[in-house]
Amino acid sequence: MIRRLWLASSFLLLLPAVFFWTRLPLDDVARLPLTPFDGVTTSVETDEWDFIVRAHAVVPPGKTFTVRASTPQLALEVYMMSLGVLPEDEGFPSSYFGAPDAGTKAEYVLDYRCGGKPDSAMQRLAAFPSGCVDRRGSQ
Amino acid sequence: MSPGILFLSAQLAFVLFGAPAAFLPALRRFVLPARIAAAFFAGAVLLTLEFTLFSLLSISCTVVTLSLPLLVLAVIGSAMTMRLPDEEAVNVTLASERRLSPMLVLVIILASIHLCAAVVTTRATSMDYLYTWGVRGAHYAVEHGMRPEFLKAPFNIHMHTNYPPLLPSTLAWSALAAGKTSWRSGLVTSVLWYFTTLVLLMEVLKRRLGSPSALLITALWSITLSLTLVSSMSAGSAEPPLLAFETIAVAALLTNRSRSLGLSLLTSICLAGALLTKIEGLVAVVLIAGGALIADVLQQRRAREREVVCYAVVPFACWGLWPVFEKVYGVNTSDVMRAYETFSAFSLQYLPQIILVSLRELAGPAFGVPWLLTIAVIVRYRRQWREVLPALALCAGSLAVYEGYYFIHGSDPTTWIRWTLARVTMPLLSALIVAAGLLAFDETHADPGVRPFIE
Repeated sequence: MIRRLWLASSFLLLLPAVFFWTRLPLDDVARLPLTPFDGVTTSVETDEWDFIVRAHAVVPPGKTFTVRASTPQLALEVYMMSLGVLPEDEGFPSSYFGAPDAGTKAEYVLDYRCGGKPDSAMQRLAAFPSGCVDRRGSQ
Repeated sequence: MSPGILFLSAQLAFVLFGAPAAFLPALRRFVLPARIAAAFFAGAVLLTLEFTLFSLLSISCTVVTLSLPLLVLAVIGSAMTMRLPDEEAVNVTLASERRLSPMLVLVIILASIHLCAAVVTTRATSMDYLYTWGVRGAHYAVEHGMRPEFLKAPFNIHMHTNYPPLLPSTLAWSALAAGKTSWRSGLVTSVLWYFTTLVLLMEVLKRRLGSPSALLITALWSITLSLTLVSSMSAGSAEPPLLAFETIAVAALLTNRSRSLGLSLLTSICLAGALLTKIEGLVAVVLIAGGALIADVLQQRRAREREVVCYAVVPFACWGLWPVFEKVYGVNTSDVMRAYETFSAFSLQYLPQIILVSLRELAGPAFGVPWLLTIAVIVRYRRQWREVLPALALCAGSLAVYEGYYFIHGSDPTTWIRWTLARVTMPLLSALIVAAGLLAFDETHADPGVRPFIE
């Protein structure tokens, strides 16, 4: 009896797996992911990742950087993500769980969506659809 | 070779580093994939210990400095373990069930495809991987070790830098070998932990129950954990290695009636691995090892010194290196991000939410079937509860700790339960499946004189 129940359960549990894949549109299943988390997040977050990866190519290793965005929460999210993509650089967050803005210490400014206020002391190094990379001149 | 392939291939070096485990008594009679899996587990633990030791001594961690000592140790260790007297295995086989095997193998294959496809298409990615585990691994690689400045930095507290070093160290090793972190290959390492557990579990159970019953248990394990790993979005996080270590620790312990040295050492390696993987591992090891030693007393089998050494002394000695590192360099031993969670915040205000949301999360994508089935089996064979005490202690104890934690959350813990419970209870469900399977399908219950291993 237990053996049969056990066996039936094993087969029954294949159904949620089948359901998991059949509920997805076919072209969505076949599409190759662009980021490590396409399948579990919104397009906003994949856009954030795309920006950081592009910015990584602009910021030289061993430099300091900060992240600016339209809201403190967004800046924090992009900052946390950037720490893994730019491990050779030192990050200073402009927003970090209520801590004062430490981003003023950073030489490079990763401006997500280019939403920050323009600063005359900054030089624009690159601009992408997902954001800009600026450098503070006097650092 | 692309960095992604190199990153993933570097994880296979653990098999070389942990090679002595493949020659342990009893384990040397396992099929080759299971021996490779045991060596993989041991290699990951040894690499972590070395990485932590080098960081403690400020020795630069590179591919050469890390691999050379481990390879020398592997050669010496393998020569030593090969000399240990062999332990013969006796299998129980039930010929009438053989016809079920292809169907059960199909379940395992489909479960594996489900997990692999979900991981590769990033449908099981853990955000903890992107914000904490992977970031720590990338920094450890760039900084050639764990640097106290990084772990103590005030803007890194969201990375829970007090968590043990196994996953970031193993990811750092791969990044060192590949030249950079490959975020997608890092996800696929979770699949390696799943497959190594699968083959090792099957083999450990086979030695006690015979192939058909072992396959039956492994099939349920594979589909249940494949579903849960995906639905709880655990790829890339520390859950897959923790699940692997705790599952094999419990399986090796429960099937080791005849006190095989090889299986005791396998348990020891896995308990050390669990301790070095997550803080939850500390709770688990105390419960598993405590359960094993109490079961010995209850069954009037005096706990021998060897069991105490294997289940408690060795794992905690390995783990001890991490708190020493934290202490020496003044790294926070507590989680700053969770400082608000104290016993003074205890409240029953959210009791209904905690019960309802917990039940829903435990049911998960499998509608609670594995929980209900395994609990029903354990109730049916309740007279033999002492035989599976370590698994029962792990489940009941850990669940009590996790649920108790939600009561000191300080605010409505609904979101927190949704984020955590399905993930952290995977090893518990896994242990229950192993325990229930052993109770239901172990025919030696009828004849206590049968001993699967001859010492």
